[in-house]
Amino acid sequence: MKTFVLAENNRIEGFKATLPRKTKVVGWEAFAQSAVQTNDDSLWVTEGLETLTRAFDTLDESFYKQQNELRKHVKLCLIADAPIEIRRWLEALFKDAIIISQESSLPFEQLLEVLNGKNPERYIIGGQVDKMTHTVTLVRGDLNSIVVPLSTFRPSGDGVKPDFSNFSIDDYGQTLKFGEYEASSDAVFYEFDPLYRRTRKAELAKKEKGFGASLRRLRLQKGLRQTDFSEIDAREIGRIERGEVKPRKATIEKIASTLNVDSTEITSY
Amino acid sequence: MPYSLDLSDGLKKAGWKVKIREKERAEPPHVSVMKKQETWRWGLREQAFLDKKPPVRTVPKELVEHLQTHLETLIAEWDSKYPHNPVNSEGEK
Repeated sequence: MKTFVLAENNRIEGFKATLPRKTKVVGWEAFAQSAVQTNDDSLWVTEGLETLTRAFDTLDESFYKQQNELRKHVKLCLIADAPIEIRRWLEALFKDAIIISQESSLPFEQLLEVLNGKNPERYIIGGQVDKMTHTVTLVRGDLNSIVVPLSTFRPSGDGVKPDFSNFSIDDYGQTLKFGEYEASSDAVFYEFDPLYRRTRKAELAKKEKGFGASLRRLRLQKGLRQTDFSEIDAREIGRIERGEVKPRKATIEKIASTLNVDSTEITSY
Repeated sequence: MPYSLDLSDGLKKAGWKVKIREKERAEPPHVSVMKKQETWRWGLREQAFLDKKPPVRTVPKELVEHLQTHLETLIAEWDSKYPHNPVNSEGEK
């Protein structure tokens, strides 16, 4: 997918000097023509409402008569605090319209590196904390989203607690920051995205791949002790984790029940 | 706040960071070695990289030696953040 940056005309040259080579910078006057005439899928990225508004100020009826082309091929990523009316209008016009507030998006140059890089789905480009649902919705570099409960960000052993009113993203989309509390996006995806988990598990060193290693990873991620399995002796859990014994199906079911996962999912951890 | 290992000016200028954040994959204990979009997990028990990707050869030898030199500090920092899974707890009995 080709990536374009929609920029103020007087900022085009400045952008060209700093952005990844694959990214094309286009001024707002050329937006309509470029967007509609690009046959392949394209992603348009822009920062701030002003640039977008100016681009749309130049549009006439002929542009709107070609909106089917936009909906087929063109995605938009807007970094701005956009009112609901603008959001609806963009969502109606584009194949995908992702709107991320400036406070909770990656710095613009890092964002473009992620969008143009390998495996963009492994990185977070923006997000929003919702205190009503106690979740954070994270936008990944492939523009898909994942919803994560805030309860997963438990205080660390040294007492650092997340400040959910102070959310940002750093390290090229690999770190979520809640004030002074930092969480690795890898840990979050590993816990909440089974497909990501399977892919990363395939990349593990060989000795980390058995059932016991999976059980230990999952148990510790959930903050449980070997003694927390009421129906199974802690020594038995230890033997399973060390790969000394192979658990029976009934034992696996009991383990899964304590861990609150499906028994078939344990080995994906 | 996360623990960040102090690196030489050369490594810092090249964009390298070593962190233990408040939420990492809990097992096995590790530090995250980062440069731009890449992260390598270096295991504190194994004293080796845990994943096959990204390629380990990209990480400067100087940085790996620095990790070895500061191993005790790194273990103490991990144990402080993850007391339910300290580095010396492998294979609880």
